[in-house]
Amino acid sequence: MKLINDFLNFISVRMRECEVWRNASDAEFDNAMEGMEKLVMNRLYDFTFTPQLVRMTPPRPVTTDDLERDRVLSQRIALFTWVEPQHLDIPDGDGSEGFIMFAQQELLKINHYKAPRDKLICILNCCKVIFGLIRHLRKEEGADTFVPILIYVVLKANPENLLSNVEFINRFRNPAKLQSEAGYYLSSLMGGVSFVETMDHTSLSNITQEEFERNVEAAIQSLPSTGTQTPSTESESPLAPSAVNNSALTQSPLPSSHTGEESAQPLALPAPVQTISEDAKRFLQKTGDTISKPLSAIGRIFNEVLDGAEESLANLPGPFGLAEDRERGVHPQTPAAPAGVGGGYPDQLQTPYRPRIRRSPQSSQSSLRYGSPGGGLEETPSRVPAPVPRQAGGGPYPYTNQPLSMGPSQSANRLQAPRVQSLQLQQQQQQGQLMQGGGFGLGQSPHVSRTPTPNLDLAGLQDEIDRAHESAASAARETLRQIFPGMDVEVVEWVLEANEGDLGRSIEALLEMSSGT
Amino acid sequence: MSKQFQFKLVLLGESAVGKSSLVLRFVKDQFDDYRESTIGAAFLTQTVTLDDGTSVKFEIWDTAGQERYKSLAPMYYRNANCAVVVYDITQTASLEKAKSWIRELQRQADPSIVIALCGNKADLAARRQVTQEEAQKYAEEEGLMWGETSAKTGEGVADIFTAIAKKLPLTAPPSARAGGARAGPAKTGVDLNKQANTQGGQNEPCNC
Repeated sequence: MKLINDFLNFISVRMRECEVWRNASDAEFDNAMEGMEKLVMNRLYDFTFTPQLVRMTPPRPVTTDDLERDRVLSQRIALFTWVEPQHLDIPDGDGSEGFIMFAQQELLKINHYKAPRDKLICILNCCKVIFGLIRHLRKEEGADTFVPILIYVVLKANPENLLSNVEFINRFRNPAKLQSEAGYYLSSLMGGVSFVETMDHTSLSNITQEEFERNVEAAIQSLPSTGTQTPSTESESPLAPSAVNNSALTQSPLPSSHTGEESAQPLALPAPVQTISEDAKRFLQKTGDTISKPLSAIGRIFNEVLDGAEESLANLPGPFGLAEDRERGVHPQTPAAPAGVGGGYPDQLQTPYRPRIRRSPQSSQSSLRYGSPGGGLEETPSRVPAPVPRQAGGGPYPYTNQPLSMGPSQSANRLQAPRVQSLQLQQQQQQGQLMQGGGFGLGQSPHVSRTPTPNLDLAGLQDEIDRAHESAASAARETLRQIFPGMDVEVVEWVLEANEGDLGRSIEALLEMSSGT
Repeated sequence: MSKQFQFKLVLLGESAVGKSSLVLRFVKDQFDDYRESTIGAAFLTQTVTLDDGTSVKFEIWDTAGQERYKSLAPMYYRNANCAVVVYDITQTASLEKAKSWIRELQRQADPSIVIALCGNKADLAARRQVTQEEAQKYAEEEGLMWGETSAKTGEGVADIFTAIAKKLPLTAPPSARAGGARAGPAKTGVDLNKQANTQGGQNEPCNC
């Protein structure tokens, strides 16, 4: 770890000299530094992010207690699934639910990104949503109100490997960027975590010691029996209390070192997802050759979302949690499916056989090697934009996703439509399409605001989505009305339209409108 | 060129003493520009320009005042250059709480930290429970700055922050904590606006 950090420092210094030498402006240099950090950390992710170490084959030695702390924290959080807003003196009001849910979504995205900056932004977005709630409730804006809600969100979201993520940010985010506002909110999150770690009945309101103990006891009972055993269970407990998808607790161990063997899991769902993901990656890389620069940026985003897809699937509670295992078990067969589109890519087809290590190269391909693999010229650039919004959460161009609906996606549809459909509907119901909204704009880099959910879309869900889109739109309107009851309905609809149906950006825009008064 | 300093200021005090209102008043009142905060009002910045042209930028870290969140405070006052400990002049208990914060700061925080004791809600003098003499005497004994403020009327708010700003550069090195091995080009502190801008811009800051 130390070595890697030294290496990073060294690289940055070299970089700085180089950039300074080229007379870059401060802002440009800043961007360059960000890019370098992101590049280096993306490529070294498997060596630097503690949970990744044990996922490697063979597992690398872990030199920190991050995983143990992750395990303890998530198990502890699992004991507090019963905590309600009133226990933390969180005021409730109309629309709180939506905000809280949305904040959880933002926080949970932390595992979908590799770069420290992106992970940090997930935290900041989460905090921003919380302030949206505070403004919505017309409470005094300040830490007195903010901290309890943040703790509540952490409790409800229970992000996997939260401490590892926080430590990762602390270790590898440019220290200069960990001050000021970002530092404040990261500190707040760490404070919230330490609060949870030491929480007892005296730290909660409206509850007696007896009630507290009874609730904890009940929570212990309802935990999976494996919950308190060996370190190998560390990946199970985080999944338990997730509020995102309250599906039954499913055994979804993280992929450990023995990859293919474990594929004999009861749920046979996600293989096609992976197929499509791989295929789409190739598609994107391919088209990346032919498209112009602006589009390559989109391609980058697309690839990044995909990059996180495996993980996000693994992190999803319930059936999707098996994604990675499935992916491995199934991989040898899957390349047959995407061959339709991925025609001239024998080299690409082979890379997936190295499950873990593959990621870094893929991400670097996505960002660096646009020109390298030839071929694929038959795909016209004009098709490229289509899959991106599809990826990006039912965004602007929901109906134009022709390329991905061809070939393998059809088979995917056939294979898993019913299951995925039900999940999709479930999510819609539960979240009022919050996830569909995905991009909580924040005016920040676009890729940061993408939810993992759209990966489901990739699984050949076009039909479902198209059908669901109408109801989604009305659900989005409904959600916005719920969150902004004071806002004129026409204004809400107008904003939604202006944001092309993107619920996240709409919320953001409305927040600004309502707070500006 | 005039000097610029940047300091981390942590805001402590029982909840309901008006910590957040106080700092909001400070941040909003003195200048119209209240766009510094990109996320929320728990973290705010404000720049005070002194007579000699020196500008002092405060990064204000608000803390949750409820007793149950007391254990979180060290996360916030770590590396703080200055602290404003707020009490409510109409609540004797809030001064006691403030005193316990001050003891903790003196024990745990950076030894060079500048601490100001601030009696808020001066507009409610009719219901005063804490006399000025009492608070001032305590502050002198402990070597603290002291002042009374009203977040409601704005009275005394700018004064106390300006007083801290005057005292700070003398006792603490400018932005001593800025930097780090990977810090960007040497400059005083971190420009929040810039960070916000780069994130807000459409152009993705270099994904390569």
